[in-house]
Order: sequence, then C-alpha cells, then structure tokens
Amino acid sequence: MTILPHDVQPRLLHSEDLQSFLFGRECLLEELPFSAEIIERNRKIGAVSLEPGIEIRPASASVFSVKHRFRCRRCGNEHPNFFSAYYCARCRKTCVYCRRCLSMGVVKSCSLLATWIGPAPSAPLFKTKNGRLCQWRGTLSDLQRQAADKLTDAVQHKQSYLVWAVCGAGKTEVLFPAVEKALLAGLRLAVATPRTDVVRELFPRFRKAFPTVPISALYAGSSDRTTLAPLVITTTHQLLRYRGYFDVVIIDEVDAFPFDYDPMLAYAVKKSAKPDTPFIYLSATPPPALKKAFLTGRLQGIKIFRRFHGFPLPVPQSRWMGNWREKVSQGLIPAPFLNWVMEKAAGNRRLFIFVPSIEMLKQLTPLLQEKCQTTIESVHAEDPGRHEKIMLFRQGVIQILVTTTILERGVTVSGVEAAVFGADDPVFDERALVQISGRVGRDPAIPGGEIIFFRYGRTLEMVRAKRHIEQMNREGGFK
Amino acid sequence: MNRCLLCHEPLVPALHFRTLWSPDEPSGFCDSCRRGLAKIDRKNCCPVCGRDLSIVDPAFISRGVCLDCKRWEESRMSGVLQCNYSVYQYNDQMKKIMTAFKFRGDAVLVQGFKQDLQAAYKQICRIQHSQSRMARRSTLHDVISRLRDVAAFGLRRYKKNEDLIIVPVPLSEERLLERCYNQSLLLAQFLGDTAAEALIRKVNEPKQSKKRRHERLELKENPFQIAEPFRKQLAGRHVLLIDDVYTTGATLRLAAQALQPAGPKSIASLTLAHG
Repeated sequence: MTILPHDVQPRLLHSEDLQSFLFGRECLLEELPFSAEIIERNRKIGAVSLEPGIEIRPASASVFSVKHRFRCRRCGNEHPNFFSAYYCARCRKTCVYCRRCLSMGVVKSCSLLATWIGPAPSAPLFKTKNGRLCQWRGTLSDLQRQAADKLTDAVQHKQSYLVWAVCGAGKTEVLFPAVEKALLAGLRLAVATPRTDVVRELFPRFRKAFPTVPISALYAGSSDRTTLAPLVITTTHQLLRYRGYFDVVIIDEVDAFPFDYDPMLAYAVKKSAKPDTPFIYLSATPPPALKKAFLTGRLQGIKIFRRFHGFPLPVPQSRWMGNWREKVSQGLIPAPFLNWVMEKAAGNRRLFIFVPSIEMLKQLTPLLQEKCQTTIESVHAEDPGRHEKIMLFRQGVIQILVTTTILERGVTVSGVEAAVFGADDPVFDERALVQISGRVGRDPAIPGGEIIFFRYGRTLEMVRAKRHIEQMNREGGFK
Repeated sequence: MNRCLLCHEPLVPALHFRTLWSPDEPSGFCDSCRRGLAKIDRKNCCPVCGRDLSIVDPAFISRGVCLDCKRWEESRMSGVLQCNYSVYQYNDQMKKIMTAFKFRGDAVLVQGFKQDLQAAYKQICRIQHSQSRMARRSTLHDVISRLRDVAAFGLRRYKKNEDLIIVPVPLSEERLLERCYNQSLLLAQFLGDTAAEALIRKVNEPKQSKKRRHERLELKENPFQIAEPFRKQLAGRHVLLIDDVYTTGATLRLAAQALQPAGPKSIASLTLAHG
C-alpha cells in the first residue's frame, strides 16, 4: 500500500469542474464536455464510473441459451420491442440500441454512461438575514397551514406524503414552508411533473418565492444548463439525466398522462433520487394505487377539499347538443353549444373549450372563427406556437382557446369559464373531467363561473366526475 | 406483437384470402402513419430528377422537365447523371421520419421503407432492361432471349440484373463515426447483397442539410473518390447510386462525376425522397 504524501490531499486529485458537472447525473460519455484524459484520470482514482449503456444477459439460465435480454441503464427499458440493432461503424460489430429514450441521445451497447462516484461536493448553503429564504408574503388558509406543517414534518422524518387537494386549493403554496426548510438544511429537491406546461407555470412562482436560490427549470427544449442547482423544477422525462441526486422529490400532478402510463417515468423518478428519499405526491385526483395506500394508512397524507379562497368548486352542468360528430363533419356547429359560446363571447368572458382530439380541434376552430367575431385560437401538443398562445390567452389577447386535454391541468387563468365539447367521448375520463372543471373559478375575485359538458350521450365517467366534485364540496364543508 | 415503428400502435395486418395462407411481412409503419407519406407517381414526374410534377408550379416546367434539371443540363455537370428515381415526396411526415432516422439514430425505421424501395428497384430494373433491349434493336439474339423470357413466364423477369451495380453514397469517416451507420447503405442493403461501397468521401464538409441552395451548388472540389478495389468492377456496368434525399442533386452529381473515370455504361440514382 502506498501512502500519499501529506500535502497531496485526495480532494486535489479529482477535477472539480467534472465533479460539479457530473455529480448526481448520468451522462453519455460523448456528452461530457471534458477531455478523455481528464475523464480517464478521474476514473482511475475511482471518482467516475463508466458503465455500458445496455446491459445484456442471457434470456434463460440454460447454458445453451442463445437469446439475450437487454436492459437500458438510462431509462430502465426491458421491453424487446423497444430495442433494435444495426451494424455499428464505430465498434465494428452489431450494436443494440434503446429506442425508448432516443430523444435524449442514443444509448447503445457500445456507449458508456458516466456517473460521479467520488466525494460529493459541499452541500449548498444559503446566507439569510432572518433565517428565511421564502419571500412569498401571502397568507395560508387554515387548511393550507395545517397541511404545510404536516408536510414539513414528513420531509424532516424522510417519510413519503400525499397531498390530496382539490384544483385551486393552493398546493404550490403549501409546498413553500417544506421546501424552505429542506433548502436551509442543505438538501437538494426536485419538483417534477409530467407536463411541460406545468413546469413553465411553476418555475416563475418558485423563482419569485425563492429569489436567492439557484433554480433550474428543465423540459424538452429548455436552455437551462445550470449544474448543481439545489432546487430543480423539471418534467419527469428530464429526471432520466439524474442518478441519486435528490434528497426530496415532489411529484406534482402525479396522475397526469403520461406518468401513470409510462413505466419509464416511474423508473426515472426512482433513479434520480437517493435510496431513502421521501416522495411527496400532489394531486387532485390521485391514481388508484396511491389512493388505496393513503386510505389504508400505508401512505401518510392530508386532504384539502376546500379552495384557498374558500368558495366551493363549480359543479359541472351537462347539456345535450345532438350528434356533434356528424354536425361538425357537415361543417355545422351544434346550436346549444354555439349559443353558449356567443353569449359568453358577448359578455367578454374568456373561454377554454376542450375537444376530444386534434382532428376535431382542426375542424371546429375554423368553424368557430367564422361564426364569432372574437379572437379564437387553438392549441395542441404538437403546436409549435403552443407556449406563446397560452401566454396570449393568459394576458387576455386571445379570448377563446380551443384545446385538447393537454391543458386540462396546471394552467391557471383568472376568470375563465370552460366547456367540454363532446364530453361523452372516451378520451374524457373522470380524472380529466374533474381537472377540466378545476380550471374554473380559481381567482378569489371571480370565484364562480360555468363549466358545461356538451354531450350527445352520457357516459359513466361524466356522472362520476360530477359526483366526485359534489363529494369534494361536501367534504370541504359545503352543502 | 408487431407494432408501428413510429407511433407504437399495434399493427393489425389486413386479412385477405391470400394473407390467410402466407401472412404478409410486417411493413413497419401502420396505415395512419403511412398515410402521411406521399408516393411519387412514376407517370407524372420529371424524367430527369424524378420530382413529382403535380406539386410544381407549371411555370417551372418546360416540356415535361423541371427547370432545375434544365439548369443542370446547361451546366458543366451536364449528362453526368442519367436520371434519378425517387420514391416519396419530402413532405412533413417524411421530414419527421428522416430526422429520427438520420439525426436521432433510430436506424430501425429503415424497415418501414423496405417494400416500397424494393418495388421501385424492380421497376428500375425493368425500365433499364427494356431500354438496353431497345438500344440493341431487334436482333435474332434478342428475339430468342425474349422467347426465353416468355417461356420462363416471368420467373426470370426480375432475375438478378448482372449488369447493375448498386453504390450507396458514403459518409465521411468522421460523420460515420459520429452517426455509427450510413443511412444510404442501410437502404441499399434492401436491394440485394450486392451493395458495393465503391465511393469514399474524403472531406468532411458541413452537412448538406444545413446549407442553402447556392451554398450546396458551389462545392468546388469533389469530395468523392473511387475506392480502388472497385474500379475494375464498375467498368461497363450500369451504376445505381442510392441516397436518402435528392434536394438539389448536387451530391449525386458529384458522386456520379467521381465514378465516371471508371467507365461505367450509365449512372442513375435512386433516392428515398425528393424535395
């Protein structure tokens, strides 16, 4: 065994730039902006580990087995449909690659994933004047206060927690005390959500509340490259780039598509956290598994069934409008729907109109634009001008926004009213309808507002959604 | 279960009397993804570059040939490339697939083009075959060979064209190491095992797809050269260059120009898309 001379301390051996870039993250070797020499030196002293991107093992225990199973180390994909192979010109043999996380750069059997396994950088510490980091000066309602205290306790004891709160209960503000406490303790937090729009909505609110804390906002197409930020607001997809970084993970809108649908995202969340990290779930309509865990006491949590401004949730009404599919395909707008829109447009109300599919959106929008003399725009997931239009709608430049279910949650626009066009379409399940209803009446100044399900038939999901909202209002203390 | 390579929806093969006995090979893309692709009609395209003339302004067509091709024929590259065939228009859907296929590294997407590409190749073989027969006029030998063809009742109609050699347009060494595969070679491999990598790209010029038209056209030095072992094979044979997209035709003409010294009978090209 060789003994290091006294003046050479171990921490001088590893590259600090590499450490701050790579700590807690998992990157393809070719993505690292460092020379091969630096990486190799750090690997030798055991500060960086390089692992093959695709783990290959025999499909069965038999010695004669020739088939293989693959597993992508970055996204956890094991499904054979999501692997493919080609003759790789770099390693001169057939390489398997993962098709599921392709959008973040291809992971192949010959690519290496780098992670930092050396000493951790010093924990982020903040100077405060009066021991406060949070600059948010609003007041929490009693229910919010209670939830915030419980949540802070749970984070301190490293316990997972569910905040089951109606749309507009002020979930984000409930987080602030717990986030502040965790940041002061030098912990690293992620606020993750499946939707890009929600990240873009949350980021400015957090930045305003914590002006002295470096916050990074990550979503596909964001230009944020801050490393080592103690507070990361991100889509669940982007968490794939992390490994064992977070001490607390908060998942907002945990029931939103595609989180409950795509096992990759669950893997991403788990991978990005340390082994004993508590998970905080926020939702108005928790998925069945979480709901059950909460109701049987396996998962701690709290219900907030009253909006922060103390008014009840608007209960959806349903209105018959005939065979809307046929009408629209003939180039007509069903009369009850059109009348309602005209009446609201004349009263200068801003409207959200939810339609079941992009195709329907493309048919209905021009029809409406023809009939109404106001600004009408449409937004769907692949719309390049999506973020701009949402901003214009929020500012009131656009009066009527026709959209698919992508805007069903997380978007707060004051004084808006909503209609679901074709609420009997199978796309609109209970959760979607409850979320859509939750868009209405969020501003304390304008707590009312109509939410109307325009329909042809009636589905169980519509009935359940209405019952759900009435139930929440009852539990919130309204009749 | 087979799934669509693009949207991952399950592929449900159509059930015909024929498919009952021998199921079709999975075609890669589902019907709704395929609908976004626009095939170019061989009967209504520019005979030189294979552009779909139905989407071109009539002002840019003169005597059935598009203006671009006329300009090429007036330039010093005239006659280097006999003609180009393209399978699809380079529309939005095609662009989307190409981005994934070329730049994101999703090599398997090439499977979705297999059937159409092979069909186009067969057609080219047939055209070339009849052209060469016409050139020879009606000799006794030809009459006998036609009789033989009829006797074989189409079995040998698409027989391997010994005269035709398939050459994929190469990538430069650097680009190949970056992307790990040559998309043109993947396409060429569908057309038999005879893909000959007879070209080398010496210089690593900026990507064509990142350049504007006049920048593409003003390449001074030819980046291509013949790979020596193939020089002999090329002499006296028809060459079919394979590339992914025909845009201005500059790349294919430069490649054809580089092959000329080897003395091929003719050089044509087949690309997946045109736009």
